[in-house]
Amino acid sequence: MVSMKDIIRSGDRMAAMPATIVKLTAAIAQGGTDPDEIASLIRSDEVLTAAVLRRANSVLYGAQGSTFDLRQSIVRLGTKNLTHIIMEQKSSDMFAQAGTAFGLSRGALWRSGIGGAIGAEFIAKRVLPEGSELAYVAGLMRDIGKIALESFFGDQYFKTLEPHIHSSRSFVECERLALGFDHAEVGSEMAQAWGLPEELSGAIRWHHEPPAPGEEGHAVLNDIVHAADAVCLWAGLAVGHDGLAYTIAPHVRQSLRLNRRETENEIAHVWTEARAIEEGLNAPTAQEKIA
Amino acid sequence: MASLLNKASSAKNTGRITVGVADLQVSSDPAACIITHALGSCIGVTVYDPVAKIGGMLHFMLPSGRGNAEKAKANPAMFGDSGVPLLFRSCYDLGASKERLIVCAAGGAEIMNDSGQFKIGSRNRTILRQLFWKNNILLAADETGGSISRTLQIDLGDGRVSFKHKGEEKVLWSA
Repeated sequence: MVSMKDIIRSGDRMAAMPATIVKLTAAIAQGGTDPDEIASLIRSDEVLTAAVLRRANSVLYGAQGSTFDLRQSIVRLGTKNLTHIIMEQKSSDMFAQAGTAFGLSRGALWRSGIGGAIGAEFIAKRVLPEGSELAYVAGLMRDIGKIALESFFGDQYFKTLEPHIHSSRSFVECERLALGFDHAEVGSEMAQAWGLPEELSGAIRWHHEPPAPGEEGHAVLNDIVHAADAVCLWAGLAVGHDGLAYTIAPHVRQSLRLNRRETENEIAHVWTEARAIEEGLNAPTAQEKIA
Repeated sequence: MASLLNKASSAKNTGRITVGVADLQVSSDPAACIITHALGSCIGVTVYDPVAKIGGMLHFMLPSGRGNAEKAKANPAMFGDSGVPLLFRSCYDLGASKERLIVCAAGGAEIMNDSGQFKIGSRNRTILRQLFWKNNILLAADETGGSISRTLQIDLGDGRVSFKHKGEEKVLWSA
């Protein structure tokens, strides 16, 4: 039987975690990013420069009829938006080629990451405002384990799980029956190996089955990322072979004070924002395929 | 909304036409095939006039835009209660007749243990049935519910509607 170490080692074959993401994530976990460093990062990278100019001059940011150069754009967007643009652009290098093993076209997994980031930040602003930036990163990175599994198994991944797939089992239960671990555990191990903050590896580990209050491993951040993951499914952002074969932790509705109307608004918000970001970054159009 | 209406009503839609999430497309080209991928809790609705060989497809995400008027106005295809009427109107604009329309639906899946908390998939199914009941429209066939993803396709040559799950195709409706 394949071990989790084998899967993690297959990371050599996948796009490495960009050093920029590791650095920015550490800074966010420690309380904030350095505005000068962010501006310097953007000026030294022409892809980032183009993304910043596009965003600052987009209608989304109210730029009707105005044109902003790079210096004006950096001032206009502010450190938080600039950090997001860097994260989105750099993570697309990792996610853009993955997804086919899960019945998704290339790019769909990245779009789901963006949706998770937006959704997690949206919920965190209400229930954990001081952690909203970390929630954004955790939502973005929650499915990195899928990249490693796809890298290791290729398109045979679902065949490996097939004997265990049953309508009464969630997708992560099927993964554990087939492999002894699931993609959330793989992602968490990868985050630790990359030196990402502990809160982040915890949120990745528990994004499908967050422990309830009083249980070991419980954290509000984990609940937030779990809810954001469900929102992405409802928004149709990355519905692959696994469909909606996931569960919602019963405690999350209460702990995050979610109601149906707010949740539906969030689904619409996440889909709209994710699409705008995708168009803004000129990413490959992600058309999920193969149901 | 005007741009969406123009796009949806375009008779120039030909060949293989992909419908995205919160999107709708119609065509009067008998050689056209309209397809939407990855229906989870969203619902795909197909309509087809077998005489005029006009058809269309909607992929809506949420049941109602009543609590979200701005988004419903910007993108009526996002919601069942604004998208379904738009789909029918767009087909009528191309010359389809309500009396002849064959209507099918797929999707509306649910997260496994969602026992009444959110129920996005089943609320999508409910709004569809309410709309059809109020307007005397019968569903010719549907493939909804469960927790699976589906791809839905309609061929405008003969109106055949099929769906795929994990690559396996099944016919939902054929003449």
